[in-house]
Amino acid sequence: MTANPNIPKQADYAILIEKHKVLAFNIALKITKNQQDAEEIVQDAFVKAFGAYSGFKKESQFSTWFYRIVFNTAISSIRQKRIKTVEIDSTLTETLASNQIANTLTKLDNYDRKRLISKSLENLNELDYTILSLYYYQELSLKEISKIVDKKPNYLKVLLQRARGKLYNSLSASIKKELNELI
Amino acid sequence: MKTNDKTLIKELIASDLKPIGNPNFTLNTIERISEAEASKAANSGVKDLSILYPMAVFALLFISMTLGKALYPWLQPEPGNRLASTMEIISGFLFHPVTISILISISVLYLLDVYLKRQHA
Repeated sequence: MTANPNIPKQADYAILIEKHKVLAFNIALKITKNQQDAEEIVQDAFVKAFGAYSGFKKESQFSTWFYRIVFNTAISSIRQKRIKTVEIDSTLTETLASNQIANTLTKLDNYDRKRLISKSLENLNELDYTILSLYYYQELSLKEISKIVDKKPNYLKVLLQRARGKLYNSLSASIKKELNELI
Repeated sequence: MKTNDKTLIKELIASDLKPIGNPNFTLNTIERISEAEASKAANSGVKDLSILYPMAVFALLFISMTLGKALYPWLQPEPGNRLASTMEIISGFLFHPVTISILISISVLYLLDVYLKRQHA
């Protein structure tokens, strides 16, 4: 019996899967709104990406390519059954500053904080969520994200500001509502 | 971009990340990759050459025509003339525009087939 030459390669790849699976799943879930579809999309993306994995010199090149597969596959899977998301007005005037939001959130108990954050993130559309999570959570550059979501970097900058504004507006509104209910 | 924003939004997203339902997701993915790799390895040695059969027939006729033309001066007039007229018919078929177009189309299809198989491998 001969040893499988792919074993060390697959062991390395398992580390990459562990690193990227959760965010990829959440992006796909945000787009498809279906847990099974999202899991299937992420698994397919990992299988597709494996063949070319050894060709990537930097890990960032892999993540750009991998998230692009996840994003495009998820978008095309919902193209037929697109659900319209509620657009949030990003130009509300009474948005709280990030430090005010952070301070208020720390004062809330764990359950309320989670519920509030979850509700605010739910209100973002799939593109806003993808851009915010890749930029702030995955810490990819605008140039890399522009390749993933197929938007020009300058326009992406505008989209990022808008998405951040939407998130803060949604959080501010929820926080104010929560505070009013307490009073 | 303010650092506060970066920290806050990173924390917000991190706190709301949902875990994958399947606890064996990584293992299952690696298994699917192994299966895909194994089937790729099993299929890599097998090549469908049926598309190249018309090319082989063309090559065979071309070789026999060349041989016939080469032999012509060495034969007696009677079989020589018969051979010459046979070669004329064969060369008329081989270099007919329709035959040439069919061969070009087959070559392009074969190359496309090889390219697509390589892309999906």
